[in-house]
Amino acid sequence: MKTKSIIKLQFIFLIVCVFTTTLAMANVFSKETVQEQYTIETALIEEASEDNGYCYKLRLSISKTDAGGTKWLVHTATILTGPYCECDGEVLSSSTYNVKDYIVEDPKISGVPITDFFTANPKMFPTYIQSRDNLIK
Amino acid sequence: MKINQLFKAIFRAIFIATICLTSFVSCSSDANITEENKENQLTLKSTEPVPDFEFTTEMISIEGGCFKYRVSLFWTLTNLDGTTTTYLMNDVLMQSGVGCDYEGEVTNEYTGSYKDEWIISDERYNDAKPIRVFWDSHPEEYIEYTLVRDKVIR
Repeated sequence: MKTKSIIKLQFIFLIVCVFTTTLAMANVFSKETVQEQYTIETALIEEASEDNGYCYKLRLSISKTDAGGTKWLVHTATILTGPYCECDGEVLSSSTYNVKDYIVEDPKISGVPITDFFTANPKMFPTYIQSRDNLIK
Repeated sequence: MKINQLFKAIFRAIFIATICLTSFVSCSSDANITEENKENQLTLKSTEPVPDFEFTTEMISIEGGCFKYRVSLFWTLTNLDGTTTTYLMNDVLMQSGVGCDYEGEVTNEYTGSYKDEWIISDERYNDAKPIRVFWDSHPEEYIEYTLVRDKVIR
């Protein structure tokens, strides 16, 4: 009887270990499948020069890829930026991330301005900054 | 003896659990190795020549059977020092499919019908040709564009 108890104990212990391990791995893998929802890309239109007030003109695009792999354009805007660039008009800025760029055109393809996106997703500013700075060498 | 049997049972259970845990870890390690291999493949591909022209396509909307999408044409210039700079040349809004609304669209040398698609607008930068003129003069690039487009419009 006692031997049977030991066997039962062993079996229960094994089941608990396997179950716990499975749960732990599932948690790990589920976290690994979570990916960034939005993609921020910038494209160089015009380099900074004396003629344009030392402003780089960029196209900023924000897109989202769905589960089927289709890339949807969510926002796009024409941006002026540069260390010596100043412009009238709407500003794309963040004091937290030290950003102050200028929006010269925003077609509001999603029906809302691109600034709304960064207001709702301020943590996307670093991604924008990195993409922008890769063009401004 | 009984205590020894108990210890043996516990150790046996721990051993089996460790085997199970190791199998999960090796699976994830395999996945990591696969990802590393992918990165290595991408690194190898970066040594290949950068194409002069490149198209990208992003979906904007699908209404009924009408697809509206943005097409971008990029031109990569190789500088004298060997570095490259990529410029946006054309920012094109296009639509295709069935049920598209063409009311109000003006056909000119830049917009309008082109093969099976409709050019809604064609914003040109850096002295770029209208996209339809570019495609007419670069049929191989048009084929490249259709391959990119068809991956988006399924």
